Amino acid sequence: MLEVRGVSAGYGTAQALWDIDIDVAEGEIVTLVGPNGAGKSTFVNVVAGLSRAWSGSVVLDGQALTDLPPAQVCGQGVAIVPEGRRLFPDLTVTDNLDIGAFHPAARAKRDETYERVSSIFPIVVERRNQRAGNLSGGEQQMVAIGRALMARPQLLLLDEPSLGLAPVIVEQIFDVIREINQTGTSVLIVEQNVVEALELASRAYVLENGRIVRQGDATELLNDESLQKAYFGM
Amino acid sequence: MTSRTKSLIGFGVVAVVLNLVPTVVESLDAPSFYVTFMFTAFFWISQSVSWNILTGYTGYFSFGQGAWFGIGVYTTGILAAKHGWPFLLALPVAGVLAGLGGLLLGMIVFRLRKQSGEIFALTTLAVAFVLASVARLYSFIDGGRGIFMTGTPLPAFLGDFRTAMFRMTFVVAFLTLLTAFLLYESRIGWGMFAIRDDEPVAHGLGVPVFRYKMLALGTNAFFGGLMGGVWSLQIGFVTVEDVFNIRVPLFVILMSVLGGLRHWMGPAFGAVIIYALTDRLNSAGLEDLNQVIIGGLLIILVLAVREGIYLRLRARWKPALAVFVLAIGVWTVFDLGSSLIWDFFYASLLTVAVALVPLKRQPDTAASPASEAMAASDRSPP
Repeated sequence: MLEVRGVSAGYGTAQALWDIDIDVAEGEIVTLVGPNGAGKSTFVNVVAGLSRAWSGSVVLDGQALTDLPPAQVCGQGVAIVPEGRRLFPDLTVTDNLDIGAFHPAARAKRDETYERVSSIFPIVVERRNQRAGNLSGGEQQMVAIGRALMARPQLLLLDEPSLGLAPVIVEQIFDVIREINQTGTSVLIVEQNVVEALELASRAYVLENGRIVRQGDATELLNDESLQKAYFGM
Repeated sequence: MTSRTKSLIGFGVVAVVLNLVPTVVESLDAPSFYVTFMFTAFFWISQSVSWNILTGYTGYFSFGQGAWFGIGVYTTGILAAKHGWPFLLALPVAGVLAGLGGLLLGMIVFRLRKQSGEIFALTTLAVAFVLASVARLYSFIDGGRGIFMTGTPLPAFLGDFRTAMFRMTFVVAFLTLLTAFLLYESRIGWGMFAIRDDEPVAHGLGVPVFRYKMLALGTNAFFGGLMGGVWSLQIGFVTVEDVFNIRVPLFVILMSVLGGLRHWMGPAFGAVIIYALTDRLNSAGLEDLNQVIIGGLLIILVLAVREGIYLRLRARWKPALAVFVLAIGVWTVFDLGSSLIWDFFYASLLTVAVALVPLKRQPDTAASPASEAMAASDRSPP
């Protein structure tokens, strides 16, 4: 479904990604893990169209996304949950969700999608008239995911969804991501929280210093000794 | 009845009432400077509210109001005064040319790969400088000689000069406010607010940011130019120094910040308050102190009332309205002010003081554009 081939990217003259190949199949949860500064967020931004790839291609279902502006990438079926959530703090929860349903195809089915999102996150109904900025971190993360779902994506991009959240909340959020995936949305999740991410995903890529150094079945990687040494200090 | 329908009816009522003002003033034999006072206020309302469509809605801070205003002034100046076009035919051209100027600027700055607020602000400032030099250099525009607008014929149905100015500025100010309101309530408006709050996220969620920024800048420039086109008549003798100076952009910024950038009505409030203040200080013979007093007041108000006067007053509209009506009543009954404008001025100052009184915070009400409409029921998208 998503095919990333030979992507290099960076900021200014500083290269952050070298020759990245990543695939996400229909209905799959794939994770990209790696330490801080490995280039994970750069990669997400390239897929979402927020940063331009220096070379290489990003293709979704045969449709090239490379060099499309972000709004059109969204229209093609990729929605992003940005790092740190980045809700519109002064807008209400419902307004935040409605900005997710901005492109025409999503707008046409807004009510239907809203029903679905509110059944996944009852919080968006309970808190619908509250300023998004007044919600707790976990609630904000739910609204941020809900906002992305309002765009009716085929592929959901999550950038560090566990950032700054208590472990029990992370657990909840990851359960919901699994639930969303089971209703047919493919998920690409970028995480520093390696254990949780590998437990959630079916396949994984390990990014270090802008290069993919390992890839494969998530469970295998979770049990891999060298990876355990590097990441979990075991 | 939805809140939008109510507001639109409100627009209609205000339009009908204000349209009668020149006739009433004349028939009461009241001083004609009442009319001048009001149409100058309309001028500033339109300039500030249109500036806010760009800066308040999308967050791109602009020093360019003088440029759009200047394009408007010179367009009607050249077409009507130099080439004898009927004034009402030259007027829309003024708006359109300024609007195109805005779009041209947008084509350049909004397409830059590396955008920033600072670059945008400086570019808008530069536009006015460039236009001033061009106007000074080319004699088909000005050439340093100025343009006499006095004696430009106006259609008879507009009435005498004051009444005509009142009617034209009123129509432009009305259209500006109506546009600002309709945008504010629409999904385009939300898209603009999303750009202001977090442009990359808005873009990633499907908001067509380039188009919306162009729309905001074009609308701002159009109304700035349209009102500039009317204003050439009031200037009388149009010169580069009078038109392309820092006065218009600076006042527009002060008025809007004071009134509040987060609501479409905010800049209109700020415009009336600041204009009334400068006008009264001038008429009291305090021109020299004018800027000191206004500057000082602004510092106090901006620090004390960060969200702007308008939202503060709306949050306590009952006491504010009571103070205003009471003040007008007391001043009129005891004949404290020398004219109705002074009464109005003192009443406004007291009302503004109400805005300074702290209010208990209501944590669960969001200052969001759609929250009024949504408070009662779940809203489906417009």
